[in-house]
Amino acid sequence: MAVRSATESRPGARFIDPRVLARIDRLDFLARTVVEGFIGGLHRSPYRGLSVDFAEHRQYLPGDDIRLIDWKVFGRTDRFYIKQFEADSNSNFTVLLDISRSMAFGKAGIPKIDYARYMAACLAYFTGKQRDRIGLVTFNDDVVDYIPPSAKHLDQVLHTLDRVEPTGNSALERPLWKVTDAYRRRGIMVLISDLYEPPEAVLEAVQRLGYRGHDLIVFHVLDRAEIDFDFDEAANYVDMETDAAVPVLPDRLRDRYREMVAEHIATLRAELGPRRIDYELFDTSQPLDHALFAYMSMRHRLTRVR
Amino acid sequence: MSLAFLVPAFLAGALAIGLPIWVHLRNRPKTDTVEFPSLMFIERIPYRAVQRQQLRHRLLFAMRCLAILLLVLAFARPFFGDSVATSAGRGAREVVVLLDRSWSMGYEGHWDAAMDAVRTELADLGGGDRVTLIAFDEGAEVLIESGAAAAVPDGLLAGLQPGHLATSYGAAIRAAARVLDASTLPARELVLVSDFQRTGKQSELEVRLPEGTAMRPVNVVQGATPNAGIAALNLTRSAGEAGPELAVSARLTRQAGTEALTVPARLLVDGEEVQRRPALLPAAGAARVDFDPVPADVDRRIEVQIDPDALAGDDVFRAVASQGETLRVLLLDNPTSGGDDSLYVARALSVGTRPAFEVDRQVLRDLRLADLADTDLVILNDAGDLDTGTATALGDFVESGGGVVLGVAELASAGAHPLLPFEVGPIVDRSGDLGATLGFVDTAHPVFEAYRNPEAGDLSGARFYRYRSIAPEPSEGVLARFDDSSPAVLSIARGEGRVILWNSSLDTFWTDLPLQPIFVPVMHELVKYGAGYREADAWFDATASRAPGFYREEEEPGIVADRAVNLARAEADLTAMDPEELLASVAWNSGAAIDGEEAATPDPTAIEAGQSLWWYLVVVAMIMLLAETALSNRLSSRASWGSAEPDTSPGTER
Repeated sequence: MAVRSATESRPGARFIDPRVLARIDRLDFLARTVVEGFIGGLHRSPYRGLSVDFAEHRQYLPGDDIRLIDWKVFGRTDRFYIKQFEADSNSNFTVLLDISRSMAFGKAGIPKIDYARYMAACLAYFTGKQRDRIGLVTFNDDVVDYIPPSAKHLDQVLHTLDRVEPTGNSALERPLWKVTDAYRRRGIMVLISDLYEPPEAVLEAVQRLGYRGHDLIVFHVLDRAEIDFDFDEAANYVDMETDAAVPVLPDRLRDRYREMVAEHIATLRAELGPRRIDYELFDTSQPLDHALFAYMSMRHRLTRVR
Repeated sequence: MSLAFLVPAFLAGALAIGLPIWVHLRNRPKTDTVEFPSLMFIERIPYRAVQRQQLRHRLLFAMRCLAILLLVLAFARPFFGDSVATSAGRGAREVVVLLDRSWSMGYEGHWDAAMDAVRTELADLGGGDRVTLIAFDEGAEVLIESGAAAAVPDGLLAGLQPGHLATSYGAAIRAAARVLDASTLPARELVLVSDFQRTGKQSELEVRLPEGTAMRPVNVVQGATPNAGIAALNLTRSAGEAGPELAVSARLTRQAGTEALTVPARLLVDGEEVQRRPALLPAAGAARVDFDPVPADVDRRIEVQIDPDALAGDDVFRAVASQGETLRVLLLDNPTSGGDDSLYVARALSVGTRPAFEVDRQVLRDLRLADLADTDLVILNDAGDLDTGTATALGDFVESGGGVVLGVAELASAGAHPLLPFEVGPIVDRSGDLGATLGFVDTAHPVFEAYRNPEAGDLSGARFYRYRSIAPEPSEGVLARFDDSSPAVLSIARGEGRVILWNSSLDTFWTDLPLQPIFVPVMHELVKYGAGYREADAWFDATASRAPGFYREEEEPGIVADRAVNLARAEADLTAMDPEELLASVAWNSGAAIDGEEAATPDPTAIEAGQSLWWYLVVVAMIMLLAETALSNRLSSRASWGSAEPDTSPGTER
């Protein structure tokens, strides 16, 4: 399954090309560059007018919390209105970042772990500007780093993202079970992983978060070569996580491989949607603001639903 | 025919056959390695499994496995078991018993032990077995050849006794080999009953026994073998006041004793004890006993004895003190000499006693052929030219073994000489420089051997004022040269005799040698050598036909002399050798000897060594590996990963 690169369609997008951004050493500066550029370009964006800070007033109804009454409006209009904020304003925003060794792969662009790192940093910075509480969980087959959501944890999150190294094997069930158990308060969770597990296992792991009321977004990060399998040399292919080696003639299994990967992605997309879990596939050559657009689109949907 | 292995533990190496299997399945040709995030999808594709499980190049695989298997078999040292049965002595046996009957077997108890051992061997014979009994010393006597045990007469062993000869294992084993070679029985055994004296094995035994022969030593010696004996006598003649005297000394030896021992040594002359001397013998070593001189005006039978011990054969030693021979010398003078020229020679020879010289002086021209008949040596002292008849007679005399001492001086004409192979040259006059001296003397030659020691006499003191110029062939034996390297004394072999050329006069005309003290001994040695004289032996070793003792024999018609015969003294040395050493010597020559102690249980090592199947296996394995190398190289150059075709045949999928 081929994914069209956004940098090929949008003028000026090269400034947010991941390969260009990879030259920026400081992750906070990188995130600010992406997010500020993203916000600055919103007037040309089809998503213009959408703001996570937007609040509305509605008439007071019996049973509403009187602490939410906007007394200034009452003074001007002599009517009771409730001040209602966006549903996720000041909500918990947590990035669940897969740092297993398979995330170190990078053939077409930058390594997946770097792409995921930038993506997480940008989302954290972006939500931080809206004063949401930011948290981070890195995991492989278990939780590696855990930063609880807090409005003051942006720097800590960025620092942690800056130093993560791919390690261990990936398995969603155990770390996500721990996250489910640890996060009592509902929030937004972004899972960034290459999802090298059977779709059933992925669904089993992530749907628990949905059961807890979390809004879950799954960013499926893959390298272009993982999708197209554009290798042309016969070689021993070594699993980066298990070290198992298999001699492979790419020409003879490329088509079948592509079919299986496409089937895998299609299954995930088809199974996650009905469970109110957003799914988005990224290849590492896509601009990072694509992730922000995806995130904004999801928040917009949540707002409207609410 | 069953296959057995000498080192079966090496068969565990057959597990190494798994190595080529592993290589074939796992060790693909080297390719690049690509790291991939996950093989989750790849592993689900059957194509990869086919490639991994398929055995490729089955011929190569088979060759590798076969090479390993051959090497494993080679290291296990296989051999065919039927050879075991053949060499193990199962079934009828051809048993050869070698019985040492040398005189050392007369040592107390040894002979009885040997008899017991032989009887035991005979008793152990089976119904189908055949036995050969050989008694040996220096030679071998086959007493019973390849007969049944019952064929051995009862009195045969009882009639055997140790002989008087020395031991020779070579002769005995050669006789046994002849019998074993002729045998058709499946098993062959050689039993050697002996005291295993080291002196019995003089050198490597050039013996080749039939393959598979079991050789079993039976050593009759138990413990130490102390022995004292008389090794030799020394007889010294001297001139006593009452006539010739004979001084006798004996050399006594002792082996393996525990402490010094005093034994009485007795001297017997003509069978009567005349003296007795005590001899102190160390525990191991030698001592000398000197007896007082005894009259020796006639031939004497001398015998020295000590008390008999465990080995009595060497406790007596015999010798004959003879008067010696008389050399008859014919001294031919020149007719003009007046009889004075040969005075010095005649006087010098007149004092000889051992041998005595009987000098007959005669004028050359009066020589008759009959005069040479009883003559041992002719001395021509500047006798002048020889006429044809005299020259012919003397030439024939020398050819038939006589000797001539030829002094050439003033009267010898220059030119060819009938007794010399070269010409006699002109006179060399050295009187002007006080005469010549002897510059070189061959002290290795018997004539001048006594002067090897400078204290024995000064040959360089004599002056030679004149001599003849001669130029002998290099092959002629020059015994002495003057100081200008001219030959002074030559020994010229001719026929059975020889001519001694004295290149000067034998009187004081041309030299002052007759005035020197050395003249007499030089003349004696010159005459003895020219006449081919050799002093008679005082004793002889016993032979098969002559046992120890005194004999009176007729040496020549009309001449009777005493002879003393002793046991060979080398046999008195009871130093034993390890029987294994003897076995090894035989094995080296035959390549098939087996230690008899292991004959009951066949030695697989010897059998395997005889077959050497491992060597062939290694050769085949090497050939197989070479072929494998060639084939794999060919396949490697032809095949590549990119062109490899997957085997998608049914049933090969994992």
